Amino acid sequence: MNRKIRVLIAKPGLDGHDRGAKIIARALRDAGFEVIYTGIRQTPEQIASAAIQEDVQAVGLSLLSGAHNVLFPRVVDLLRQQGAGDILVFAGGLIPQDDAERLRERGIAAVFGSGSSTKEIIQFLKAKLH
Amino acid sequence: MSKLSAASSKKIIAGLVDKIRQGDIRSAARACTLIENEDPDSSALLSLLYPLSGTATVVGITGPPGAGKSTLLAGLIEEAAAHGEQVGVIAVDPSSPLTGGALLADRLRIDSGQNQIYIRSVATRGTLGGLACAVFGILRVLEAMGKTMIFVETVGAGQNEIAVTQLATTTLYVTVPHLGDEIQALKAGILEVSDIFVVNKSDLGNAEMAVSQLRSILTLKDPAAAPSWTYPVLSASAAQRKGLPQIFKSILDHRAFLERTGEGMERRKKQASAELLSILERQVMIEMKSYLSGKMLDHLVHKRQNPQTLVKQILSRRSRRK
Repeated sequence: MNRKIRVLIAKPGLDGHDRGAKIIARALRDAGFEVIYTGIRQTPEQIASAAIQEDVQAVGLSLLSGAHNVLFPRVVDLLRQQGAGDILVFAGGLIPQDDAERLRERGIAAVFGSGSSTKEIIQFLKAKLH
Repeated sequence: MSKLSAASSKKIIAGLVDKIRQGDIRSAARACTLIENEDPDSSALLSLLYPLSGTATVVGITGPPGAGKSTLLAGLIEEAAAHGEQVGVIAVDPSSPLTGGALLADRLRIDSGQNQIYIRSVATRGTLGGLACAVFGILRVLEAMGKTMIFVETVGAGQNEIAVTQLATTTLYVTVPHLGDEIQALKAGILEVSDIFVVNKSDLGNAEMAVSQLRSILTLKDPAAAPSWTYPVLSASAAQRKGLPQIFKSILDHRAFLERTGEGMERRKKQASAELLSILERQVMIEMKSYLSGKMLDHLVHKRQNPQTLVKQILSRRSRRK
């Protein structure tokens, strides 16, 4: 068997600050993951559709502009509606603690706020997805 | 899946194939994963898919890095979809030889969000020569889904270029001005296996010179090889969306040419041979690696034995085992 863990990293909405997302994408690649990086200005629909086509095990959403409460749960909902609720959704960016709590209730598996290390994220994914 | 009984596995796989034929994207995506992962069930899956194959025009897109292949592809996909083709895309990127991971970023330039266009990003996962054997399998899945035109994009660099042409029915070679096309084309042998040549980024200037250089090289081709194909050399600016309808028309012309002449059948035979060999190669490599040992390598490094002797020993051990 020649298995790899495939992850999609995307930035929904209009936030163009992609340095963080790119750093995570590269760190995951260096940890042996196959990372599909779909870049900035993605709609939740595009993200869900790409995640399903690529059959990823996890989707990482990055947002710094504050629209996470609307956009992140939308991705989770779309995945569930299309029979892909088993895809793990995790998040990063500028997300206040209260929002993080609410996001977890809406199905985001983990929220990695600014200051999180790439090591943390990698360990989390490896533990959840082996 | 492999923990179930053989009978249940077969049933599940057959069910998966039915779903794929109905165009179910999640099922198609799962099938691609089984194939990429070399899952024990992938053999049965591929056997069921094979009779459904050979229905799509496979357009290979190759050429040096930085030629704008992905951007060009994005434009061609639109042309194809507008023309009524059911489009699929396989975008191949190299895996890191050190970590085994990969950053697959072609999709971001190609994907316009239309769900009817199926795009799959594939990492080479350590295959030498750059084109994973899994790509043949993924092609089968897309054909079973009903895709009529499948684009396969790969980074062009020597072996990679040739590899994609074995998979494709029509090969597009994309380059840019000022890359010393004459020398490139003569060196890599890409001339002999490409059908349509595109000088992209014509907005940078000097495209006409590159086009005429390529044209003059192409006149050196053996006229007996494929007598009625014109080997068009086109210029384009993918970023400015210029020249795309002409390129798409060339692809359709080439498709018609293959159907009209015996060349279509010749291509299919070459594809079949390439596919067979790539699967064989992969199986054999997996098997052969199991014969290697640290002791053997030690002998080699200290020149106590040479590679030829060791290979003979390995092969005779193998035939004794059978």
